[in-house]
Amino acid sequence: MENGKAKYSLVGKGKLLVRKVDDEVIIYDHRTQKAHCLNGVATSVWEHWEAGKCVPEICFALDQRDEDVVWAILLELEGSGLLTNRIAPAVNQNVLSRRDLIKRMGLGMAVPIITSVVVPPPAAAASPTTHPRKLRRTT
Amino acid sequence: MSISCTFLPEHPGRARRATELGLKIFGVRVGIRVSEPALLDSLLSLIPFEWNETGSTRIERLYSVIDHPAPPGRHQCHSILVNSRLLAKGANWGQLCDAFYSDMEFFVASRSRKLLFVHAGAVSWRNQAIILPGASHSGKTTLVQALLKAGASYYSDEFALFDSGGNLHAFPRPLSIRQNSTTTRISAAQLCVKQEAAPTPVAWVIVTRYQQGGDWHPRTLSRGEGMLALLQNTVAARRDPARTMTVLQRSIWQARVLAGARGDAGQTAGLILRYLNAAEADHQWP
Repeated sequence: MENGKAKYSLVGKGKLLVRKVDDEVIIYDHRTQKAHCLNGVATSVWEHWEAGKCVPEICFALDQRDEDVVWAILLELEGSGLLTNRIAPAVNQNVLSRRDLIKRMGLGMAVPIITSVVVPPPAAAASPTTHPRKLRRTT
Repeated sequence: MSISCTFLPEHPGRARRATELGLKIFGVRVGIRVSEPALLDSLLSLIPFEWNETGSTRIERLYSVIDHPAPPGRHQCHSILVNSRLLAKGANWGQLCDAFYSDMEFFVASRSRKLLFVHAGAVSWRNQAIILPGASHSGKTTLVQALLKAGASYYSDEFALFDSGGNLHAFPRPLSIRQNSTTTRISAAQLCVKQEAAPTPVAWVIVTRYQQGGDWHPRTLSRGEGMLALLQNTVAARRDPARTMTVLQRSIWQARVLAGARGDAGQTAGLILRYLNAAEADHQWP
C-alpha cells in the first residue's frame, strides 16, 4: 500500500483477483470461490514463479539456500490452484511435510503459509430472514 | 436486474398515489405498493436509516401488500409479495412487517453499490472504530451491547458499512437482541448510548466467537488474515468480488487484527477495552 491507495494486479486471465496487504497477498479464485492469504514468504515465491523464474533463481532472489523449502511452497500453491505456470509433473522433489517446512523456514509452528477460506454465498453471510411458511399458520 | 414499473406517475403534473412509493436506500431502488396509506406508513416506520423517494420508474425490487377478505369471526389476512413471489402471509401484521424488513435489509445489503455491507458489529472507543465480524449466532450483538455498556458508542450490531475509501459508516438500526426464541429491538437512544454518524477509518478488527467457559486471550493476526475474516462475512463478496477486495483492502490498511474465542460478553468487553487502552499507551500503532 502506498499512501492508502490500492496496489493490485489481475492474473490468470481473470480467474484470480489479487490484492496486496503489507507483504502478503489476498487472492480470490472465481473458479472455486475461495479466498487465500499468502504470507510474506509464500507471496515472494509466488510472485517470482509467476514472473517465470525457476527454483534456483527464486532461491537466489530470496536468499534461501534450501531449494526444498521453495519446492514445498510451490507445491502448496499449486495444490490451492494458484499457479498459472504449473509445476512440470516429471519433476521429482523431496516433498517436505508442512511441519518440516515451517521448521526449516525458522517460523513458529502456528504460522500458516497459506490460509484459505470459502467465500460464502450472500444468504450465508447475513442473518437469516423470516421463512414465509412459518407465517401462514398464524391466526 | 431491474423491473420496469408503471405505478409511478408518468408526468410531474399528476400526484403520486398515496399507496405506492419508490425508495432509494443506500443507492438501491425499492418499490412498495399497498392497498391503503396506513399500511405504507407502517412499513416505512420500520426503516431506521435515511432513504430518499426516487423519481425513477425503474426499481430493483417491488414489495406488494395484498389484502385478503376476513372470514367471519377471523382477523384480516395480508400477503406480502416480492416481485410477485410470496414472501409472507398471515394475520399478524407485526410478523409480516418483520419479514418485509428482513428481506429488504438483506436485498439492500447484497445490492448496494454505494457502500459495502459486511456482516459485523461495529462500535467506537476513544475515536477508534472496532469491527467485530461474525456469522449469525456468533454473539456479535451481545458483545456489542456489552461494549456499549462499557462506554463505547454505536455504529451497528448487524452490518459494518464501508465506503469506497474503506471508511466505516453507521448502520443505525436498533439492536436485535435474542432471548430464547424471541427477538427484541432496542435503539441506541433507548440504551442511552451515543449513535455515531461520522465515517471513520477502522482501527481494530476483532474476530471472536462465544465459547461456553471460554476466556479471551487474543492472538495477533496479520492484516491479510483480517481481510480474509472480513471477506468471509461480506454479503456481496461473490456477486462483486473485485469491488469487495478493493474496499476491504483499503479498510484494513491501518487496522490491527486480533482473534480468539471469548466467554462472557461483559467480561470480554472489559478485557477488549483494557487491551486497546494498553496498546494506545504503548503507542503501538501501525
